[in-house]
Amino acid sequence: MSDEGGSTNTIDLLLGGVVEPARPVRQRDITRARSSAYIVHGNFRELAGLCENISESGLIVADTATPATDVENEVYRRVHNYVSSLYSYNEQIRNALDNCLDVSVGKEIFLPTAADKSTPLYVQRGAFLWGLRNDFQHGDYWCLSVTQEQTDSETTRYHLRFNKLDFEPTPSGDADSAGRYLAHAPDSAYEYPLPYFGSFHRNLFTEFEAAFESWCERHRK
Amino acid sequence: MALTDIPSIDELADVTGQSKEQLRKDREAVSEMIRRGDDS
Repeated sequence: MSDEGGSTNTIDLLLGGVVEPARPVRQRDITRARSSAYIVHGNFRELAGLCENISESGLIVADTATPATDVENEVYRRVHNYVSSLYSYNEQIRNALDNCLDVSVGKEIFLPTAADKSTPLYVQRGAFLWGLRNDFQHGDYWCLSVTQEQTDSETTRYHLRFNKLDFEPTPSGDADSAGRYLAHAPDSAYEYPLPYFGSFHRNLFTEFEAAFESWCERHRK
Repeated sequence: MALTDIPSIDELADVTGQSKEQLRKDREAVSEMIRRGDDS
């Protein structure tokens, strides 16, 4: 792969440089990516709807009459749906690239090593969300907890918290194997996942989707 | 039970930060997938 042209397109950066496809990008792959993105956006709306401001405090607001268990279950359901749909979207992107490039595009493209600082921020920050998706699928999501913060007669506010020691993104389930999923941000960034989701989606996901569109447009001509 | 709370493109753009133009393409893609059964 070469990087002549100095492209700043996120897909070029993901591929390690400007790569000319061996075949045109298939319209059905673009359609699949777009439809997956729409599901991710819808699931993000559900996550954001839990909060006063998902990108800042990430505080979850519920009627005080709602049992805490119901709040907790609903938060887990929405987090699960978001990270699962994001994983599916990344798989659609990977398949689209794999179908038009002569080089094989493996899943590891979305899981850089701790030493690899050249990958796009979308991939670096997305690694944690992939890990959460794996934790939901293979583990028991003990790494997440919903804690009550403030209450009055009408509303109760909760935080979603992340505990690194209970994170099990791989079948072996130990902290060392979790390293690649947590290597790309300081531990403090993961402590409250909802603001992390807010920043990721509104800044990185939207930009990545636009970059994929731009990349496809360039290679359809 | 009626199906409610379906987001508009305007609302999705406001919440997600994505452009309305992109979201319209995405919504159309979902419809296309459903109509064609993904056999295009």
